[in-house]
Amino acid sequence: MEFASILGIASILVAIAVLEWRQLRADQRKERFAMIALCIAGGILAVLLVYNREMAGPTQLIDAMYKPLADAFEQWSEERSLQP
Amino acid sequence: MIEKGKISSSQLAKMMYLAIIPTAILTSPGITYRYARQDLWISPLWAFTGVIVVLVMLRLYRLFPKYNLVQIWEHAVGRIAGKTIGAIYWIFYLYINSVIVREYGEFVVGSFLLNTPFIVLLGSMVLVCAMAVRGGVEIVGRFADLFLPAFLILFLLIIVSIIPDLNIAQMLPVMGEGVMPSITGAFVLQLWLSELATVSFLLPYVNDQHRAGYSIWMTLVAIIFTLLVSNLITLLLLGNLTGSYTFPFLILARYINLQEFFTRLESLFMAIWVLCAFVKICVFYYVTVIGAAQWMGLSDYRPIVWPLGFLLTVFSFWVAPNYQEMAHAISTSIVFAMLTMFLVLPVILLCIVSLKQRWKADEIPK
Repeated sequence: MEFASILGIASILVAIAVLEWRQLRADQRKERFAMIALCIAGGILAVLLVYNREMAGPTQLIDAMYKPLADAFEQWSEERSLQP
Repeated sequence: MIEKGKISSSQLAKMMYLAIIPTAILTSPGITYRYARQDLWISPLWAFTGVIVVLVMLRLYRLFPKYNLVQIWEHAVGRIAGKTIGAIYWIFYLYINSVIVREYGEFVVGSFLLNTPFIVLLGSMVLVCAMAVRGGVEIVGRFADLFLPAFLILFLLIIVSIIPDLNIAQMLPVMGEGVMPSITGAFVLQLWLSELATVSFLLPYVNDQHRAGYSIWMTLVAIIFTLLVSNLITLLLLGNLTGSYTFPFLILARYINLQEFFTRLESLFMAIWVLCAFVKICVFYYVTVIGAAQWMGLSDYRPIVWPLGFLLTVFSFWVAPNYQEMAHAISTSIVFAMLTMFLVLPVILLCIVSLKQRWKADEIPK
């Protein structure tokens, strides 16, 4: 199952990279580099997610950053909604 | 400029309208009801964020007609700080868009295509959006042109055909506990109104600039009015049950029964919703791509559309393990994050830019 997922991810990324590479001119080195770098980043993230579906993500980061504010708001709104 | 296409100000207004309404219509009645009870239809009127964001964006647009938000940051605070903020912006847009894509997937899988795997739905949506975004801002604008009439007609059809079942007593007492419940309920709505800041990334491509301000204000009014109508109708039909559904507006469409002949209209709602979600995802996708291409200093944004689409699909799995956690994050921490990115930071930027101008203007007379 995991092997099949990784094979699928790899084939999609290779298809994207090859098709885009052929459309770019030889002097567009920066574009080629950016495209390949994004493909590699996506590939690494996808493979990590295949092995660990519950990996901590950006939502946890934002939750941690705004925890005091979010807690204060929740407490305040709960006090409000308790009123009849 | 990377983008050579041009859009009209009416296309801009339609894009922004469709970039905000779909998810707002879907989940806002349920979330607002938790805090505002029978006053939930008043909540959209407290659109402070929308007004401030539009004012700030139009002011910045008048000062820098050819620049978008990230470029103005770079101009105002220098290259290194500007690049940092630019990176935060495009990654944040990627994240917000992945939340939208995930919401789309949860809605369609949870209510209609129960046995379809997530990856098929999300992947096909991102595939179609990537094709549209690769065509440029003009193509996305034309899709908005095309889908807005369909959305309005079908939305009105649902509203009109539900009218016989409405119970006006559900909205009483109006403001029974004063204005505070409706203002508390409006808090989560600020999330969608702050998304109006996205307009800054599209304004440089508008060709009739003198009408741009007018069309953005009209967009804000239209958004508030649509939310008011959808919240009111949901309340009048469902009453106390509004808060217990994840997607109350879907229940409303499911409820329609005209002469035992027109029934099961939720498929209609699903159709309009998918059309609007397509435009919404396209607009955010486009902003991500433009932001990333500018940040990397590319001459063309098209090579990175597909890789970013893949990243978007992966992100939408990554944002949350299940819908409950995501819905909780949407109504708490994501609101604060979006208010920081789309309200607080642009206001600070406007202050910096105005102060700089004041000093420069003071220098010139000497």
